[in-house]
Amino acid sequence: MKPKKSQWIAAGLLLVLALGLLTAGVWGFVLRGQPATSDAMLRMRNYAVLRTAAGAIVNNIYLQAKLDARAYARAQKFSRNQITVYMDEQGELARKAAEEKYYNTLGIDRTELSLAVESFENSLSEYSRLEAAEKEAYAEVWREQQAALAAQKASEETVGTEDETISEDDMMASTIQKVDYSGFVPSAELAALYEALTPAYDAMYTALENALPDLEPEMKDKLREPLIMVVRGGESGFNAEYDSYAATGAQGAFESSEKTRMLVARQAPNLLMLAFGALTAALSVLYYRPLQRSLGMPRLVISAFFILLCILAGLYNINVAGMFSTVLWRTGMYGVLALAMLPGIQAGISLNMGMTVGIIAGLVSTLVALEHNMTGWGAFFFSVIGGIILALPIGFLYGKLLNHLKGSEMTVSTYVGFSVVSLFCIAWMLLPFKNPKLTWALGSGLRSMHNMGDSFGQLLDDFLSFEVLGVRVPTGLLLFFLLCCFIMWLFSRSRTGIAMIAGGANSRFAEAAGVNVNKMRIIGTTISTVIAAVGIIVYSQSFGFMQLYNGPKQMGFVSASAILIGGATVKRAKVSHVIIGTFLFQGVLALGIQVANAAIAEGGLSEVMRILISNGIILYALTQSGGEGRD
Amino acid sequence: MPFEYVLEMNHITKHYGESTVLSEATLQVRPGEIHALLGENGAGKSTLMNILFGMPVIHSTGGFKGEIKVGGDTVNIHSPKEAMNLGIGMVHQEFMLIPGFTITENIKLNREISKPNLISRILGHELESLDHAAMKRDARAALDSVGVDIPENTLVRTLPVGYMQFVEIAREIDKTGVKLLVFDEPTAVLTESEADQLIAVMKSIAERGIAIIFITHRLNEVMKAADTVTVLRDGKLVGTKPISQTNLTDMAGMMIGRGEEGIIDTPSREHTLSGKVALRVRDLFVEMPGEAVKGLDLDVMEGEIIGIGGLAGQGKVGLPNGVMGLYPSKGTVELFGEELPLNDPTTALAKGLSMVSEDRRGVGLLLEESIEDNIAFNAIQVKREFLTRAGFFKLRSGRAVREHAKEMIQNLDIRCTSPAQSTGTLSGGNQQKVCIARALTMKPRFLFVSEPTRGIDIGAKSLVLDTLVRLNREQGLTIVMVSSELMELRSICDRIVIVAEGKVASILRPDSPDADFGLAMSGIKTQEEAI
Repeated sequence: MKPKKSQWIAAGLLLVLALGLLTAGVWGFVLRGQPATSDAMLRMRNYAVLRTAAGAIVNNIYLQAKLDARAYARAQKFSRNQITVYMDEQGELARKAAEEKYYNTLGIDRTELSLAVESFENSLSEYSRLEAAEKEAYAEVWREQQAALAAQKASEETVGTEDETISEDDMMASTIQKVDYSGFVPSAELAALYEALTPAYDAMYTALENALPDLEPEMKDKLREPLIMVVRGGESGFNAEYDSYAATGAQGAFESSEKTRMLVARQAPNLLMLAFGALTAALSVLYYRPLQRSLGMPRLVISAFFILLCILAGLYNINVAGMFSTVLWRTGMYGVLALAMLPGIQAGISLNMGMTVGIIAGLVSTLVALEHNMTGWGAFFFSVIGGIILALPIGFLYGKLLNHLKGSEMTVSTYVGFSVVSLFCIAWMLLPFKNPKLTWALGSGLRSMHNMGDSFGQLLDDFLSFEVLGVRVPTGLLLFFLLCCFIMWLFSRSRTGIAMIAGGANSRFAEAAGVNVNKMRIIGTTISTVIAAVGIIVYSQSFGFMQLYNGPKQMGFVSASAILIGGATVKRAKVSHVIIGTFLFQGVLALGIQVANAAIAEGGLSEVMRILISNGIILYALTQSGGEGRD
Repeated sequence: MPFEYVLEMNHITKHYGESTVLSEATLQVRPGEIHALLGENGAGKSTLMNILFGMPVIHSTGGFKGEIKVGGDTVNIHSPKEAMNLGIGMVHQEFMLIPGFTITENIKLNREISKPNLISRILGHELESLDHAAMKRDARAALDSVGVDIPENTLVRTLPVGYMQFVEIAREIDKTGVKLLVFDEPTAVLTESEADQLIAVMKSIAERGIAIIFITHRLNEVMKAADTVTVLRDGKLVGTKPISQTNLTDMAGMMIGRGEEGIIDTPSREHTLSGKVALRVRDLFVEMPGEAVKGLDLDVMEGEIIGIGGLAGQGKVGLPNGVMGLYPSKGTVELFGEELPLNDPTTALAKGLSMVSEDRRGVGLLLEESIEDNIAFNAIQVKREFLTRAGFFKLRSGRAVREHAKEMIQNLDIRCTSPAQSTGTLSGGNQQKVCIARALTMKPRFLFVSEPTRGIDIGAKSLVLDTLVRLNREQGLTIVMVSSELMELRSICDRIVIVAEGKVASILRPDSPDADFGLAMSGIKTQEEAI
C-alpha cells in the first residue's frame, strides 16, 4: 500500500527536523574539538573559580551584616520579631551590595590565576582517579549489602503478609537508589594524595587572593572542598565539565553568540538522540500501514513507547549499556515462564493462569536439591529434571480438570492458580525439609526467601557471559531460553503439534480430521505445566533468590502479558510472539522504571510510577486478549 | 374509505450489498383472507416480511425501494413497534414467550391492565397495581378464540410445545386493532393434529376479518387453509392465484421452475456405470441440531454423482455429517461392501471417505493458517504423509507440503498470492477450492460435498461445479453432493435424492418435472419413483 500524500508531508517535515537536529548535533561535536571552545571552557573555569571564591566573600559579608544588625537591634531593644525582620533586611541589603561588588569579575586580571588553576587541576587528576575507583568499589559493596538486607528483612517477616517477598522490581529499584557515602573511609594512599594537593592549592589560593584582595585567609580551608568540586569537573568529560561550571552561572559571562555555541556543544549528544527519534518517527509515519499490518497495532504502540523510553533514558543521562544489560537479563529470566503460555493457547485452553501448578513442581524439586546441599550444574539439572517429572502427572490431571470445564478455562485456571499458591502456603510449613538453611530459625517450615547464591544462583547467567560495549550478555541464560523456544518450535511442526494447534484454533475442524481434541488439550496443558516448572527454576537462578509462599502468585499475569504484547491472542500464538513479547514487555518495564526514577526524583512518586507502568502494561496487554486476531 | 386490500406491498426491491434478494416483488392481501406465501429457501419470503416489520437489518443495509400501503394509506415503517401500531402482528417461528410466566402474563406482557392505587396517585401511573381480574378475562377470551381450554394461569414452561404456538397466536389476537397477522412457518414444530387445529384457528381468525399471511412450504396445508397463494422465486413474483384456480402440481411447478438451462455444460458419460453399490446406508439416524436424519436408507452407485436436495432443516446436511462421524449417529453404513463404523472420523477418512463441509469457515478451514497447511492437514493427521524424520521426531516437511500445495493450486486454479497466504483472506470460491484440495489430498474413493456453492459468487460456482464433474469423469470418483440449489444438482447429478423430514422423500432424475421436485420437497411422495 502506497503512503498517502499527508503521510509524505508529515514524514518530510519530520525528516527535515531530524536533519536539522542531526546537523546541530554534529556541529556541536565539531565545536567541541575547536580551540575557541576549549578557550571558552577555560574562561568558564576561571569564572567559576572566581565566582566560588566571591561567593564565599559575599556569604561572609552577609553573615557579618546580620550579626551587626542583631547587635544594633538588641541595643535598640527591638522585639524578638522585629529583630528577625531587621536582620533579614540588613543581611539582604548587604548581600545585594556585595554581589554587585564581587560578582562582576570580568575586569579582574586572570593570567596568574589561570596558570595556578591549571596546575592545581593537574595535581588533582591523580587524586580524582583514585577516589573515583575507591568510591565505586565502595558503592558496589554498599549495594550488595542493601540487597542482602532487603532479602533478610523479607525472610524475617512473618508469612502471610501481602508483601513478604521482595520482587525483582524492588531489587532493581534498590540498585538505582543513590549510594550513601557517609560510611566511606578513604584509604591511606588516597589520604596521602589529598595531603599532596596542598602546595598546588596554596598557590592557587594565593593567586585568588591577588585577584580578590578581600578574600580572608581563614576562608582558605572552607573553600578547599568547593573549589575541588569545581575544578575537578574537567576530569569527567565535556558535559560534566560544562555542567559543573554552568552551575555557578559561568555561561553568563559570554556574549550571546558564544553562549549559543557552547550550548550546542553541550547538547550535541542529546541533539543526536532527538534526531534519531525524529527519524524513527518519520519512518514510522511513512511506513505506518505495512508496519501496522505486519506487527499489529499493539506492538507498534509498545515499540514506539520503547524507543521513546530509550531516547528519554539518553536525555536523562541514564547508563544506556547498563540498561540494556538489565533488559537482556530480564528477557532471559522471564522468557521461559512466558513460553509456558504458548502450548496452553495453542491447545485451546487460552491463557493458562494456572501455570502456578507447574511453578510449584519446579519449586519443590529445587528445594529437594537445596535440601541435599547440591551445587552447580548438578543441582540445576537435578532441579530441572525433577521439576519435569513432578509436573507431568500434575499437568495431566490439571488438563483433565480443564476438559471437564470447557468454555470457562480462564476463570478456572485463574482460580486454580491462586488456590494452588494458597494451598502450598500451608504445604511449605508442613513439608518435611530438614536442612537448617531452608527452614525458619525458630520452629518448623520453610523460609519465604532462599538465597540461590551458594547452590546454582546466576549459573546460567554467567555461563559464557561476556560484555560488548558495556552491555553484559547473559549468554547461557539466553541460550537456554532460545533452546526451549526451539524445542517448542519443533513440536509445533510435529504431527501431534499440528493437531494440537488446529484443535485449539478450531476444534470442529480438527475433529473433522479425526483428531482427539480433548487429548490434545491435555497434552498442551501438560507441556505448559512442565515449561512453567522449568521456567521458575531458570527464573530463581537468574534472580538469585527463590521465593515461596505468595511469590509465584503474579507469575501468570506477567507471562500472559508478555505473550499478549508479543502479538498472540487468546486463541492463537507462535514462538515468535513469546520472544518479541518478553523482550518488549521486560524492556519497557525496566526502562520505564529507570526513566521514572530519573524523571521524578522523589522516592515515593517514582515508586508509584513504577507500579503504574508495570500494571499499566499488563492492563494494556489484557485488553488485547479479547481480539479475534487478524482476519 | 373502502379499500380492496388491507396490505399492499408494491414493487419491492431490496439489495444486500451486491446481491439482489428482492426485485419488483408485489404482495396484496385482502381483509379477512388467508394468504399463503410460498417459496424455496432464499426466495425472499423472510426479507419481504422483514421489510414489512421495519426490521433494523433492512434500514442498516440501505433500505429498500417500493411502497407499502396499509388499509389504503401509504406508510413508512421504521421499526417493529410502528408495525404493531398499524395493526400488524407476527406469530414467530421460534416462540417468543417467557417460560417462567403464566399464560396470562405472557399474553399481557408490556400491555398490562392496571388500576390506580394510593402510591400511584402520588408518584404517577408507573406504580399502579395490576388488574389481574381484567387481564385474566382478556386472556381467557383470547385463548377461547384459538380453541385452547387450558387454564390461563398455567406456567408457559409446563405447556406442550404445540400449545405454545397457540399462546403466541392468542397474544397477537388480544392486541386491539389487529388487522393482519403473519404466521411464519407455524406448523414446522407441530404434530399433524395440532397443525389441523391451527388451521382451524386461522380460519376462525380470518372470519373475524383479520387477514393472515401464512408462510409455509407445506403445499397441502396451503391447499387446506389458504384462500389465495403468492409464489416468490429468486426474489421475483411468480404469480398470485386464488386457491381454486391452482393445484398441488401447479404450485410446486411455480416454486421450482427454472427454465431448462443448467449452470454449466456437463459432459455426458463415456462409460456406463458398473452398477456396483459404493455406499449403502440403512436406517441412519443422525443427531445433528436443526438437520436431524431420522431413519434414512440410500444406495450410492460407484462412479456416479448423486445429488441430495431438500429444504433447509429437513436433514439433507445431516447425511454426510453423520456418515463421516461428525455428529452422533446410529444405523448401518457399508462402504464398498465393508461395514463402516459410525462416530469415528479417523476410520472414515482412512477408508477413503472424504468430505467438504457445508460450514466452510467453521469446520472447513483454519482461517488463520496458510493454504498449504490447510491442504496438508488431514493427510498429516490420518495418513501420516508429508512428514520427514529428524532424529527421534517426525516433523512436517515444509518442502513436500509446499510442492503439493503448488500442484493443487495449479490443478484447481486457486487464485492466491502464494501457498503461504492465510485462507481467511481468500474469496469464498477459492476457500471452497482449498477445502476440495484438502479432501483430494486424502486420495479419496468417495467424496461428500456439502453445499459447495453456498455464499460464493456465480462465476466461482461454475468453477467449483466444473471441478467436481472433472474429478468424477477423469478419476471415477463417486461424489455425493448436498445442495440447497436444485438447479446446481440438476445440472451435474446423475440422480437427485430429495430428503424431507429426515428421510428420503423421492429419488428423481435431473430432468424430472419441476412439480415432482416441489412436491417431494413438501414431503409428498410422487407416484413415479424414478430410476
